[in-house]
Amino acid sequence: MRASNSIQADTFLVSPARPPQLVEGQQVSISQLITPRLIDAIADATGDFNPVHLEQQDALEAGYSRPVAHGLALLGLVSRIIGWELPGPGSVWLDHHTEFLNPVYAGDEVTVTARIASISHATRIVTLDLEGRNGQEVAVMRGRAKVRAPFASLRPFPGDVA
Amino acid sequence: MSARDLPASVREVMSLVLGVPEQSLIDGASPATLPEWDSFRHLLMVLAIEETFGIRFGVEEMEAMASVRNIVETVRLRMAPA
Repeated sequence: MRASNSIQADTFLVSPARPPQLVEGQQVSISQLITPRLIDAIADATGDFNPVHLEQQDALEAGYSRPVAHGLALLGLVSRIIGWELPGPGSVWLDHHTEFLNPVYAGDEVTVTARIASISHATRIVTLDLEGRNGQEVAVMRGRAKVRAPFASLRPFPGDVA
Repeated sequence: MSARDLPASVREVMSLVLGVPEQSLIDGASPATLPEWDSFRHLLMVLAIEETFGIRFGVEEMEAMASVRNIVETVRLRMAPA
């Protein structure tokens, strides 16, 4: 079985499901299996070797049943949605507020959903509502992000010259 | 909100986004006079004004928002009854 936690090179050979124009209410969800390998990779990439993410005993002492994934595992999925699907390539992530509601463990398959809450045509800033759930449908993250969308993804504003 | 309150409310939003005191947002204040007013904060400020007042601007309107006076006037026109 192919591990679904890593971003495979062949993923990038497929055109993203990128709609030609964005509308409020539009949403995208992606799922990913959180594996020890992914957690190790995040620790390596960020230098965050907090043992609560990596060591069983430290996780137990901190009150968790097993090592807890970094929050970045979920934010990475948000980044993937923003940069690859909604709004898609050319987007620039400006701002976000997130709450981590429940721990995510290695072995959890998490699903992150981003939904367009509003679109500001003048600024090209798209506001996304974010939600993350684990395989038991328990909410693990919620938040809001502001993203500057590529020009071509927005309809002309009424009154503007197209 | 009364028409008299509008300029103060707009200045309050601008002050929060730009991180400058409201007193510095005189009518003629602009990106040329306030170093904090860069292109990035301009975007966030316009968005904050849209969200605060429940209005949406066009690109041309945003490009005309070159001073506090212009911004207050643009918001006033958008808020005016049709």
